[in-house]
Amino acid sequence: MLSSTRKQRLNLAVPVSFTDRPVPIAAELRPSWRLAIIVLLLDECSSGAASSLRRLEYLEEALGNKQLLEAILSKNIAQIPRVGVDPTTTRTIKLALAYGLVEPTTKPRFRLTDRGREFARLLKSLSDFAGEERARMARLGKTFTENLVETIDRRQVL
Amino acid sequence: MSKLRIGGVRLQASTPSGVYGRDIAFQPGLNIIHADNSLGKSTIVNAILFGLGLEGACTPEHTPPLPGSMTRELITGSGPVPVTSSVVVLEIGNAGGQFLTIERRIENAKGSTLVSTWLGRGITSQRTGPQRDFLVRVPGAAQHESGFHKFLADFLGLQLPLVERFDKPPTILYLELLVPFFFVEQKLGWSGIVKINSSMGIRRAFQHSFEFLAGLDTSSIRIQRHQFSEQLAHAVAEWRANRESAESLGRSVNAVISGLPNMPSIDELETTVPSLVFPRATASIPIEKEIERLHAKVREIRLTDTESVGAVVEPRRIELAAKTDTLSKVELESQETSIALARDESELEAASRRLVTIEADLSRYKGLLRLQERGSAAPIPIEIKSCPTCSQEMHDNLLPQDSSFVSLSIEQNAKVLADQRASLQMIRETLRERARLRTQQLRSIQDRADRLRAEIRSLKELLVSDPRAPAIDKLRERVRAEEEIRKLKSVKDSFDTIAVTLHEIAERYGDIQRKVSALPEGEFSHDDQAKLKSLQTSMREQLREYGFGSFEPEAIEVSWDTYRAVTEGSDITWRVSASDMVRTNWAYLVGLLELSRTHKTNLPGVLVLDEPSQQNARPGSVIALVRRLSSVKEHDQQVILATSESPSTWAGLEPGIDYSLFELKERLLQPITSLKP
Repeated sequence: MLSSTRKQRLNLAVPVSFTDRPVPIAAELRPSWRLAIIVLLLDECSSGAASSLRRLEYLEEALGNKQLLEAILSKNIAQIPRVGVDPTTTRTIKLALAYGLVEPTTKPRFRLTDRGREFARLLKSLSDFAGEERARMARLGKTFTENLVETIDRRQVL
Repeated sequence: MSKLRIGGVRLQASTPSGVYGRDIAFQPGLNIIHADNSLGKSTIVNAILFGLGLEGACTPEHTPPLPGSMTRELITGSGPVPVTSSVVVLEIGNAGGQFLTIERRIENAKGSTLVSTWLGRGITSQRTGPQRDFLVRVPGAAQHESGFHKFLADFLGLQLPLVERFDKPPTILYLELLVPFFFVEQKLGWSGIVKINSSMGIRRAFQHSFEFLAGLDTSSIRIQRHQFSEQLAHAVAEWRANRESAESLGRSVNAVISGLPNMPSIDELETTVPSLVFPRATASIPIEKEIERLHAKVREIRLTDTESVGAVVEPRRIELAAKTDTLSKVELESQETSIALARDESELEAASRRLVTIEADLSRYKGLLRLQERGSAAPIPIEIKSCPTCSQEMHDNLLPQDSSFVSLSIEQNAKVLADQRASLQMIRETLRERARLRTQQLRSIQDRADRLRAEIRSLKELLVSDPRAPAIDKLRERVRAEEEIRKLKSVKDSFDTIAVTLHEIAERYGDIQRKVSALPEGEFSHDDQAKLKSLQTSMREQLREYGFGSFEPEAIEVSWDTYRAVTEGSDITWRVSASDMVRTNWAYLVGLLELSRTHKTNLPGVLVLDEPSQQNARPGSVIALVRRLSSVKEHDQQVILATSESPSTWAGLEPGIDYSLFELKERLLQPITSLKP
């Protein structure tokens, strides 16, 4: 019985087509979410509201990785693991440049523009926006410097 | 029958040159007080409010709403004279035909907080009954036995509801909040439709007052819904507490409860009777069966005589072998259950971890939705569908754009996450319950193994003891079994008592659920809907009669949310001319007066309007208003209308229109005389 049904299905004259249905994705893959996080990281955790791409990758990872966060806060460089390059951060920065939220500086850094600062102010006025992430940003402060990033990366390469 | 009737008002001011004053005896039906400006129309009208101690409806201050002639200085024919004291006496009637005389003094230009009352008509007839004094405009006067407004509400038969306040416990609905629905004073009353004094700290003051006066069921439906939901929550809490007690009883003897639903459900209780059972690998044993088994064991031991060890060596050896065999099976069962429990716990942990991840993601999505609500305030689109540089279409995700991968919209994604969270929460609860049962089962198996070990030890001791000594192991076993029976019976009795309580809770829960489903589906009963529609119809009809011209009167609606007059869902304040605003105010108040004729309401059946012809409302409009109001007498209602509209205006009225006209041609306060219609 089953095999005959299967046969009937295989013998269908109508062509079968498949259409991709929209699927749910993690908020971390949404450009708007990541743009907001990058803007907040530049505003809250970066001196002069500017940071290198590499440092942003570390900071973004630390927001979702408790171990890395604690290691950074302990300031024990030996314990801070090297974070891999995240292509989604690069894409986010490109979008941030296109929307005029950040601008490149002479050093290889990205700095918040006035528009970016305005956006950061709006985000901070929403009490229920990224509560967890903002609490971690407050703990991080501006202590994680570019020098530390370079040291960690160099240490791993060596 | 109206709830409030103004019988009359007396104003008296004592001066060194004698007492000046005036008595006004109002009639049932329409009363028109006509006088030129500044002769004292508003004084008469405001004296009613002052007499009732309700001036707080217009002002939070303690200054009486009366002119200087009643408080400081009176202009007489021979010049100004100082007022030494003054008094307002008011005569009011209620629905039962009883009358009450109220006297309130003005001292040092302030309204007295003392109000004296007598039953009977103290102005138009003789006072009767003893004097009773009350306090007014002091904290607690609305609810305390010595408070005048508590007494007044009782006299008028008003059962005032409790209403919520800002940052304070609920209070009784203040009478002051009801005043603007039947009393419009000249200075501020016409600047909006039903101006409520917002300084009283009551949430949704207008809505509460309207609902009470119009006698809407919606507030009682809302209160009932709230009470039922509290009762349901209470029943659930009681159920859980009793369930927990039953479980703890079970734990004390390593038994578990079977057939007891998580939530109160009389249907489930009647299908499966809850019981205490001992979990076993093959089938659970109910506590009753276990008690029976122990009884049989005791009986069996009782029947055998105590023999010497030597005589029982062989049967005890066989018994020892059998028990050792059973113990190994039980230990195996224990091991298997331990493994299963570890698996359950790991599944539970995985579900909990997944839930934490989903909740974190959902919280991020909720943040994005909040940002989306801010609309144009954000400098980026929250859903990015095109490249900001080249405007080419792009997928709203950070994955490589060449794939055909399409993500859900942010709103849909948040909904999927919320659904996932709900399912996972359910799964986690099931897993938690399974792990809990498995723990109980393991404990029960281990308990059984311990008992078997003790019995084996006892048998081994017996077999190596002196063959001439009596074999007392069976006696020990009997004592143990009897002890176990006592314990199990006590647990079973307590469990049965809890089961009866659980049954009662489930029945109560079912009753409340039935009451909840019997409540009207929406917020409004059929009667409420009829009332709101009736008010709306009356308003539209009146506005046509009054010459409303800002837009088609048909576009006026009574909002089912705010109960205010709206058009296209918005407040009419900024959409109508100033004179049409006044007309709408008339239509709203007269509409309410008319509503009390056809429906059961708490409206007082009285309307007091001071100078309704504001904003140069055309004389024709005022005549239309008077025409509309002339039928109040037939319906046993009363209207007091004070106006400076020239007598020639009234000439436009058809003959036969019934009203009592009070003409005031001189200053109100005169050496005491009576003003007759």
